Amino acid sequence: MSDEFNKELYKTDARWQEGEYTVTRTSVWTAPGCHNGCGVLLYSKNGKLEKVEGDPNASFNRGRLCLRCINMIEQVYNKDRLKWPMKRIGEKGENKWQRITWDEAYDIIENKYNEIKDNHGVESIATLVGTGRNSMWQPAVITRAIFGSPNLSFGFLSGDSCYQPRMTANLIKLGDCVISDCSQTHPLRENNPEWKKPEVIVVWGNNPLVSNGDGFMGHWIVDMMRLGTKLIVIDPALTWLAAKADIWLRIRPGSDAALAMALLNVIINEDLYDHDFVENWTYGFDDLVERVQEYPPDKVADITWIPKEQIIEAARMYAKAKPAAVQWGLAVDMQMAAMEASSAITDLMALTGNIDVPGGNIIQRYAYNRSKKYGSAIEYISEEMLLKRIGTYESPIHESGYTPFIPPDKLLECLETGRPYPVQMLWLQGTNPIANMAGEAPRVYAAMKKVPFCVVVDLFMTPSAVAFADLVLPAAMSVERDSFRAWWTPLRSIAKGAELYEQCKSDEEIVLDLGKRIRPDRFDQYNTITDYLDQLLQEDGGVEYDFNALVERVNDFWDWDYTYLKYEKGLLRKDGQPGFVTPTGMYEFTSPLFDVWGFDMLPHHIEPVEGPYTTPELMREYPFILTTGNRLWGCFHSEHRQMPTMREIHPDPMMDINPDTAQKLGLNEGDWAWLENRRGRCKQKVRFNVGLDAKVVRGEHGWWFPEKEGAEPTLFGVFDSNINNLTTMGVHGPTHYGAPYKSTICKIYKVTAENDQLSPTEIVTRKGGFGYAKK
Amino acid sequence: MCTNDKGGFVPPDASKLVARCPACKAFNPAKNTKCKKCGAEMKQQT
Repeated sequence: MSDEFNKELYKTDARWQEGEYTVTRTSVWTAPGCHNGCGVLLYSKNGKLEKVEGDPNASFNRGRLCLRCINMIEQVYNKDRLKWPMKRIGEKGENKWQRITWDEAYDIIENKYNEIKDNHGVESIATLVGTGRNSMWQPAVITRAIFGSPNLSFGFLSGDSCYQPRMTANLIKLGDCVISDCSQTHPLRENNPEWKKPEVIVVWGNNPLVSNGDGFMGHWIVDMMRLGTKLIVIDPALTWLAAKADIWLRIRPGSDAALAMALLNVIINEDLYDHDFVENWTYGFDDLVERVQEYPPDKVADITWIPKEQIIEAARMYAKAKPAAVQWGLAVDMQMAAMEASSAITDLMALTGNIDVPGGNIIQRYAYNRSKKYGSAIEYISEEMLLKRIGTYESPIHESGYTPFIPPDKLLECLETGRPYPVQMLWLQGTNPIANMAGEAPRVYAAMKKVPFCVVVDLFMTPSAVAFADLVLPAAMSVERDSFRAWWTPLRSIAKGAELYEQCKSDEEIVLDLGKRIRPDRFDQYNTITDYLDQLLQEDGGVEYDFNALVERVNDFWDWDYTYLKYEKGLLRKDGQPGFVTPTGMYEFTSPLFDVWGFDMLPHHIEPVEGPYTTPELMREYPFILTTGNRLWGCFHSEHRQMPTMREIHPDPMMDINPDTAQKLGLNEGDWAWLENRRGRCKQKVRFNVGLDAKVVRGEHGWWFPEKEGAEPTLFGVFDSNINNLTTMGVHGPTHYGAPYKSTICKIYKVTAENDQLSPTEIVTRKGGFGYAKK
Repeated sequence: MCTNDKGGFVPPDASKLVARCPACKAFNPAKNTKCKKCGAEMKQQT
């Protein structure tokens, strides 16, 4: 919020010369991965990036940066970075490669594509993407506009359990997505005269200071706290924000839906809700009133392990604050009841009249609605081909088009069974499934081994590339390419601030190169990347300027996104009438769509598939609830493990445990411990965490070891500390959304020389896995 | 300003998924020819 900086030094131009440095003022967004798009100043000399600083003129981050940008030089010029295309010359897993040219690589891809098209059909090509978001639209275009396959999926993220449940619940209940309003949608930020400070922010299931989730920068919470905003934090762990909160609800992992229903219960029964909004803008309130009676605070206290008094106090504090916002995160998605929890939390926003009000949860669309192709490109697929999507027709939400992706759990089944048809080719772009996203990683490893041909586009050689790839293509980093960001707001340029490293190519270049070879009818119209970006920016009533003009502007705010109460002003519906984009035109507490799809129309609690109330007998052997996936300061998911600076901060995978529990188990801080359940085990280092419940432990995800041998059986040690040896695939909520990554069970014991004879990676790569067979 | 037929993740046209029975007002799948609740004829979406 400080406006005190040298304005002569920090200019608002897009580019300037500062001594021997060329300074490029732009934003950075994947790769390497990130969910935000902070404003940066890229200092380069002779085409080489020398320094990165936060741009104090970017209202998004106001000069602040995290380690991933500050340490960008170490990433861009890392010696282990992929430098040129490579073809596998040994067996899969041997890590033997031959350098080839891009033309040779494209020849191999084109020939394979033609062979598959002629003999199997293009639908037998499937693409997996990671979660950096920006490099999601390019593989979507490659898959759908170039190969013509409809099969695009997350890298085996069970239950699509990252943001998809929250977004889909929003889309079903109100037809749009909402984000907590910390003034970020307006260029003047807090000085926007219409904006109001949230009196209370509920930080639910995320640690935004570390995670910086979609469209939301963690610093904004601190900015709001400085203005006087109070916090309610819902988290199993005592985070920094939880320690500063007025109320910290230490929730049992996987019980968020029950908590939300209890909060609704108190707010309704104590008549703390917004009568005007409920009466004029909602549908199904009476049904909700009836349903929440099943969730009195004392009952929910038993489910959530949160004292009844705290639940009541939190409900009152949130409901009485005007305005109030919910800043939610991944923990809501990573449970069986993800859709149900997302729905109930959205109901809280609506019930209290906080939808699309200043300082509440505001309705957002991609900046200037750019673009359909973001993560989709589905308009290139014929109706006939859409019918061939893998697994989609077992999930009504997928079938209805509420997501452009196919269900990852169904794709895994397809790989395992060859039904409805065998997958002949996998295209992995910016994803390292067995190290990161894939639940039940050893099972995914075995299934991916079955696919005859695999292309990996990435920054570094990864365990997934070694294990599965026939071809590896080196991708450019964000600072080396021209693109733009329209994921929420503002519209931002991503302008090249350094020359391409060795023979890397940008994701956009790969799109155009392949497009011109395989679908010249669609791509010959573009002579340059800029031509293509121009169209993405301008088509379908987009902006009136071109990419180069966006580079000059650096960023551009869309007035729609900072207009409040859009549902009153007729700004949401196609017909221009007031209301929401739902079947009833209202905010829907009761969902008619859920009804026709055969789901419960109202939110409800679902117990984790394994836990004290569902599998008490199993808890005797595996007595701890295991929550996974808490974010690291320096590493984004499985990335950044090559960086010396990041490893200085994060040298080893850490598991958090209450010190009293650790003492009972004979574990000291810094000991290596096994985390094990019936699906497998991994080892991480013990870290004491006094805030955790004695029955809850927390394990980190994304760990592999670039410093170890790449060839199998070592495979960079990818399964040694892999928390996804313990998680699940094919276990999800009734809507096909949400998987219990954050609410499974385990036992803990010390690693000793006797019980560490064979590494987990050797067990998986050489012995066929841990022997778990799903009952 | 904008319409809802543009953008990335926007919901499909709900009228293609769900329809209201003209007689009893119950919500039905848009493809239903008769209301699942009262059996009345449903007008098909075009």
